Amino acid sequence: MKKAIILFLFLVTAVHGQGENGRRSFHLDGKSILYLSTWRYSVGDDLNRKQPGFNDSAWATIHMDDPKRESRGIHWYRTRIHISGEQDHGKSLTLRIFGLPMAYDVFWDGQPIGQNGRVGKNKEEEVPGSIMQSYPLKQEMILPGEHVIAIRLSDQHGQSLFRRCWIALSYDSDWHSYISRILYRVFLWIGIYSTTMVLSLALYLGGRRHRPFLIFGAFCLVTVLYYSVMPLTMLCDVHISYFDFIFGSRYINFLLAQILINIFLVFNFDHPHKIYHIGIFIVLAIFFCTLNLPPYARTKWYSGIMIFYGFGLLLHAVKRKKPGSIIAFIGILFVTISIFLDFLRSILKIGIVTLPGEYLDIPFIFCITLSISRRIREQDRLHEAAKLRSHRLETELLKKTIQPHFMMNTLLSIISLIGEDPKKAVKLIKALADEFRMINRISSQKQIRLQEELRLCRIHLELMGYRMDAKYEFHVEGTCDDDTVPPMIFHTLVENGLTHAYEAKESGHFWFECARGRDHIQYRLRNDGSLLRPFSHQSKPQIEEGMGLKYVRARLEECYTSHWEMEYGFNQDQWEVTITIDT
Amino acid sequence: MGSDYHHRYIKDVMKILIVEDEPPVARYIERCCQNILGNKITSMDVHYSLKDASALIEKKSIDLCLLDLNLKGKNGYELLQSAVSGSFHTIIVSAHTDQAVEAFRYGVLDFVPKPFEEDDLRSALDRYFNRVQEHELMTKYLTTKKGHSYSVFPLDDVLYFKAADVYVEAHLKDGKVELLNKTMDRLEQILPSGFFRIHRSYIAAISCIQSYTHIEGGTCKITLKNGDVLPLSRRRYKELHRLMDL
Repeated sequence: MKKAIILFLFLVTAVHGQGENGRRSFHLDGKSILYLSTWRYSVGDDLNRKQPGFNDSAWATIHMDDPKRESRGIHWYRTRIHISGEQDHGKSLTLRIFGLPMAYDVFWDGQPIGQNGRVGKNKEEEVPGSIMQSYPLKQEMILPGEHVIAIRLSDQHGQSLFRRCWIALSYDSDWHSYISRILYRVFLWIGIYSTTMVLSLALYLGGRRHRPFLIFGAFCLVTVLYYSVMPLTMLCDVHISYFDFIFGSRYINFLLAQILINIFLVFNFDHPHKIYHIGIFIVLAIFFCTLNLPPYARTKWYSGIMIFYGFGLLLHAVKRKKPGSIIAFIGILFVTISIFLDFLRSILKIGIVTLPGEYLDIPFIFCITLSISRRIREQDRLHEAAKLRSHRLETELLKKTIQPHFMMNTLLSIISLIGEDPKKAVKLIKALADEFRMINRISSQKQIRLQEELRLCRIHLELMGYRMDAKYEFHVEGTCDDDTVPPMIFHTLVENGLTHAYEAKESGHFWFECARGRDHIQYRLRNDGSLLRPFSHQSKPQIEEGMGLKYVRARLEECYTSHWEMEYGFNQDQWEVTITIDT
Repeated sequence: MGSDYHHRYIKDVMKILIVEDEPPVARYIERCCQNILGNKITSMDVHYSLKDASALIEKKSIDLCLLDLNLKGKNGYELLQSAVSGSFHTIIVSAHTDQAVEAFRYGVLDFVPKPFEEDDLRSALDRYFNRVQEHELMTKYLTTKKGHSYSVFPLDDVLYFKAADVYVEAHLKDGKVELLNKTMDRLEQILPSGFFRIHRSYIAAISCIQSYTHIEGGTCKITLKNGDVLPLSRRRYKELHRLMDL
């Protein structure tokens, strides 16, 4: 990294040095593209300014990338270049002008070589031209020695928001190979990202709607859009009035890509407070948009901050040992290097072949998709575990009621009653059958109607009444008939109440109340058993939660994941369990 | 007292306590006992909770307790400890058959799984009157009551038991002495085959016997591995001799 920074600083200074000296020498034997970046500049119109001999030493010096060219009206650019070497007669030299607003005439050594649109003194007179123009130079014009290029331009229709212009001199063959290399790269990227986008979308729709796939797909889409505008300006003759639209969309897509990749990280690694993260991204984006900086500088700064943010998210995920986080980290590292190299390329204006950054997108995409699939595998595992837990709860339910001792004890009760009260024995058998029939029906359901649950409680109380020589009454207050609840939670609580609160032969009452609040439903179950009463003075009852309460908790958690609450304690000498469920 | 060893002295009449939380079942057990034992029963008490049962035991001596292990969801283990530490014999009547092995380790006389019929209870009660087959005994621990708590020690730690008034002293290998609330006869009934009644007042762990000798005057003695010398009755001498020869 340190090396990279040093290299970067070196290159930046190198570029600046170049700018100061104005590398304005074009060697005819060489193979290169000469960017004419430093120009003399002056507002006002005087056709003498096209003459090579015109003294422009008093004019301001400007740089092509410098956005501070406040001008409404006709103004001039002038620069000198030195041509050396032998002319290659088979090749033609061309001057290319890109993005210069709005209309201009170009002069080579005082001779007009072309125009773009029509320069005008006012808006009516001016006709804006195309984004890019090329002007072939005749062989007699490019004799070795010093030449002067003068441009007379007007921007009555306003300057474009995204100033991005360059003026370059090159042989056509060099230029075309340069362009085809750029296009090759761009189409490669478009191909990679659009394939990934389609694939992500398919995986999202065909799979279990795993959101990171959708987000990554969206990221790929904006990346494709980002790359698509470039060939458009290169390949077609695009009118300059579309300049803002094209580059604006490029700019926005770049910002969106930055935001989406970070949102992806937030979702894929399931960071808490997702909405806050997204809020921060958007606020930062708005903040940078309002900064008084050239748009490209803004994107660079924003991109830098977002990359840091992304690494922060990733490090946090790695720390929490999220599956796939290390792979994603490597992937983001790849794309960061790629962006960094791209950045270098843009400020250096050097040929693409010198920096191999473009291929880093492939490992980036590989790492990210791998990371998503790792996360999905993890989620599948969790899902399986949850399914297993649910099965276990079901088995537990069956075991709990059909547990041997309940059955055996009830059977012995029947044996006991046969001798002394055969009619009661029959009633007990019938209640047992009812209870089992019902349990059998509900055991595989995750939720049952509250009515059914309450009926089950009644049957159980009837059965236990026969067994304990007592009579238990069940009172229901409030109407929540249409509610559904996890099976056998109140049954379990009633069972617990009977076990712990009532002496043999002690009859009693159970009250079930249901109250509906604005955002919750509350169920209350209380009993008047005597055995717990001695503990009623304790403010916080110290009880060891047995199998029953654990079962109830597990069921509630399965159904209402942390949107529920269970409390128990004494309410005026009566043991009361309260279950509150958020709605 | 010739048949003392093979047919130990057991009272013909007995006092029974039934601890069972379901009234119909308690009445059923009562009826069964009545049918099986008839007039051998001098008293029969029924209690639905252990608290009431304990209160009764404090006041009244009993011979046999028929106990349900899971009363009102109370810990069966605790109940078991309190039951087996008593001077009486315990027969567990429970649906929790998974606790049977543990119950036997703590020296209960029998375990009757619920549901049962009269004959099941009959064979359990038979154990009270007859010495059970030795290999069936699985007692591994003994329980003593100290104040309100119970302490458990493994039977393997015992060198010998010595009768002391109505109690029995258990002399352990580490020199400690634990006091058991059982009579010598009741203790012998629940001890596995590794223990041998050497004297009216002594039971020794066979593995701890170093030597046994015949002294003049018709008395015999046993020397234990730790050097302790215990008396050995003449009749037991032959029995022991036969046992050691095997």
